[in-house]
Amino acid sequence: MMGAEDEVRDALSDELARLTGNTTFTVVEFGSAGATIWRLYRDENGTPRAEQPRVRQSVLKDSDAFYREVNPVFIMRTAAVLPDNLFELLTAARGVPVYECRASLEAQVRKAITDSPLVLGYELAVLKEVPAGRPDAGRLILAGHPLFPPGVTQGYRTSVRVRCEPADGNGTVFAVVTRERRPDIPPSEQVLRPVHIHSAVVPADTYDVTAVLARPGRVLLEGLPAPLTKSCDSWDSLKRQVPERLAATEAVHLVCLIETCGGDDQVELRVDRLSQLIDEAAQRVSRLNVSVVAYGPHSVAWRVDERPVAVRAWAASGARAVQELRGLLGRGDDDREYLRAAQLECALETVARHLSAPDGRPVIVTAGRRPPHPPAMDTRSTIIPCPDRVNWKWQVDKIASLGASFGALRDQDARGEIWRMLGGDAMATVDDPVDMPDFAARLGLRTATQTVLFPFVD
Amino acid sequence: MATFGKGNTRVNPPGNGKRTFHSEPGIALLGATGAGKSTFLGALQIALLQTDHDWTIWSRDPASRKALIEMNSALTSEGEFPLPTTGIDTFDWILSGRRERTERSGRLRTSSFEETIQLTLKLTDPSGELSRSDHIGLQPREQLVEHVAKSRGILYLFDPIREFNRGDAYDTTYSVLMDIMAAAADHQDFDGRLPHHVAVCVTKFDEPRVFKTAESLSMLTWDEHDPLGFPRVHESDARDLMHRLCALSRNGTGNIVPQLLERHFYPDRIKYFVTSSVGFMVNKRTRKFDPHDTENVYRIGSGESLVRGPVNPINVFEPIRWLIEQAALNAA
Repeated sequence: MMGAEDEVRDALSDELARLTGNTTFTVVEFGSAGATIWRLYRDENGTPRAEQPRVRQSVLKDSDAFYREVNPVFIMRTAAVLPDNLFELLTAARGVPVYECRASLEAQVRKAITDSPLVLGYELAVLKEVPAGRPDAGRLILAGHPLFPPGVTQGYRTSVRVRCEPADGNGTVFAVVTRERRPDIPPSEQVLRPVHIHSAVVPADTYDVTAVLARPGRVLLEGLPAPLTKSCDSWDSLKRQVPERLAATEAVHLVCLIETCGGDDQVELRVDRLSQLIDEAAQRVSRLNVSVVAYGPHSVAWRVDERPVAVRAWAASGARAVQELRGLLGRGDDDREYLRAAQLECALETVARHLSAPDGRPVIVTAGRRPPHPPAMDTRSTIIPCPDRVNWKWQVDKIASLGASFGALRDQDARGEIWRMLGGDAMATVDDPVDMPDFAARLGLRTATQTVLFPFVD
Repeated sequence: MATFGKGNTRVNPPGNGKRTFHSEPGIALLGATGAGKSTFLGALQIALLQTDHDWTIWSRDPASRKALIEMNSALTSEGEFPLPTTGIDTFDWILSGRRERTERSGRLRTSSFEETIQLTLKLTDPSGELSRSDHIGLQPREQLVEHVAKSRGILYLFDPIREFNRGDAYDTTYSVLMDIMAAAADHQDFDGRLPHHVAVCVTKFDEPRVFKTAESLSMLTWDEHDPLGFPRVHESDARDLMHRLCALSRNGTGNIVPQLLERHFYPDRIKYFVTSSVGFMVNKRTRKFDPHDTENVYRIGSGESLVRGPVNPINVFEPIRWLIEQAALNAA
């Protein structure tokens, strides 16, 4: 059996579904304290809105005026005893449905708006480059990337991969918009209307964002590494800040080599420092690729299994690289491991083998302590040679010949020629605070001269 | 009355072309702390198994048997080294084997027979610390001197790496020799030199500095039948290698250690061997000797040393066999 609340909800839903363009409808609550009138309409994005219109007191005492001027689609009575004038208005209802409920009309209206389907599709405001071969190739266009089609309701979700360029101090703008769909205007020129505009200060990187429809007019964006806040700038101001084109920028390939031995605390320090460097680089470099290569001790004994050098991420986003670095924590050391050297030479060989020019200018940063294994027996150091006879000097030379910069985030007691070479452009110890902006600058990771407020969808 | 450098020997008369040889040629080990004396003994069982001959080692004495098993198991099962000796350990181990022997039976005739040998090895394994001069006069040191003096043969382990790092071989050897000389001086046969046979073992052949020195002196020889391809240093070169390694002694006195030994023992009773108790590292992939990675020992975080690969002793049984042969020759 249908209750009065259900009838009110259905009535509101039906009326909202019929609500188009500039039309409105009104609903009224009669309670013990008086009358509450709600007028519902849709804004330019098709989002249902409700407001309380000003109505003269005389209208509430004159049934003719009331039904002519207020013209409610239904009346909801929430009190058994009503003021006299409302009781008289009720008796002269003239076919207007009257529902007797306990819940307030305001709550019913809010619920009906929340549950109503979208009448216009929602899109994310993004930048696109005019493809090569077309007139104006490379010009930036502010466009909408579809999030939700018309007809969907709250809880609907969709994913979109966005690429953020370095932005200004207010961060990257995430604006949900609708488009004025007119058949006589090409889609690229249809006006975008903001539903809401938020921004987040995020490193330049690629992010997988999930958009969730909380209610018409409200979209949640999940998956960003920083919280979204309401943007201070107006929509028109933001649009004016879109650059004509992207400035030509150098791609940088930050390769992080991390030694995973030496105890959990020390590995965590290395992970923290490298993560800070990646964040710093992401804020400076628009085209940043990051790789993570983890290395530990060689097995020098038959009884100990060899754990080879691991490429945890290659030319990936900064966020993915940081995630992979975090995944290295808690691996623990083997009681029987060889302490005097690590697979650094093999890690360098792996990097030299993988590096390719399209990934960007190589910046090699090594965080560790132990020296590499020599390529052959070394009677001076007496360190056991690399099982694959890899010569670390050759590998460093090979990488350097590709125009690489070298930075070292070494442990306090890391010494020797290898660390001098690996820290040729920038050197710091992980145990001490690191001036990361300065460290990044010495590696040629310079602040971008151009800022771009809106994200890209590639 | 003590018998210096002679031991006890008993030969049964030949019968049916065979005879049995029983001997108790006590062998004492001398060497500094960390020279690898206990490891040498631990590797003896493996060394015997890897020879072509039917040599076996066993023991009737429970304590000696336990030590034999523990020393051997440490190396083979866990790659660990036997715990260093803290005082003086004496082991009664029995070495059994057979050998062909030819003897002159008249002016113009010789006869061959197969000889079954059963030797009781009285091995004395003292702590290396007892060789230090600050232990002179102390009871364990006196005991060590007595053991060495009574032994027929001495296994003298010379650790070239210790000599390189600390350079105390001359001092410790000289100090012990003086005590043994003093103990021997009262004996009626004493003629100013000690009568023992001495097998000088230059240890840690697998260590890169030792191996490289031998290589640089072109002393390496290869046996094409060796399944692992291990090189060796021929006994005729061993003394020169020791001399060269002693020249790198930390305090410069190492290079007179051979002269010290040859002055106090009969030089013709001293023989030099280049040894490694654990042998060379065998490459896990090729299962062969790798001249670019020879060391078969590494150190872990606890400070303990472990064996890297299989244990393939080099010249571990050979010095003992030589000492036994000298005892047998003297007894014949």
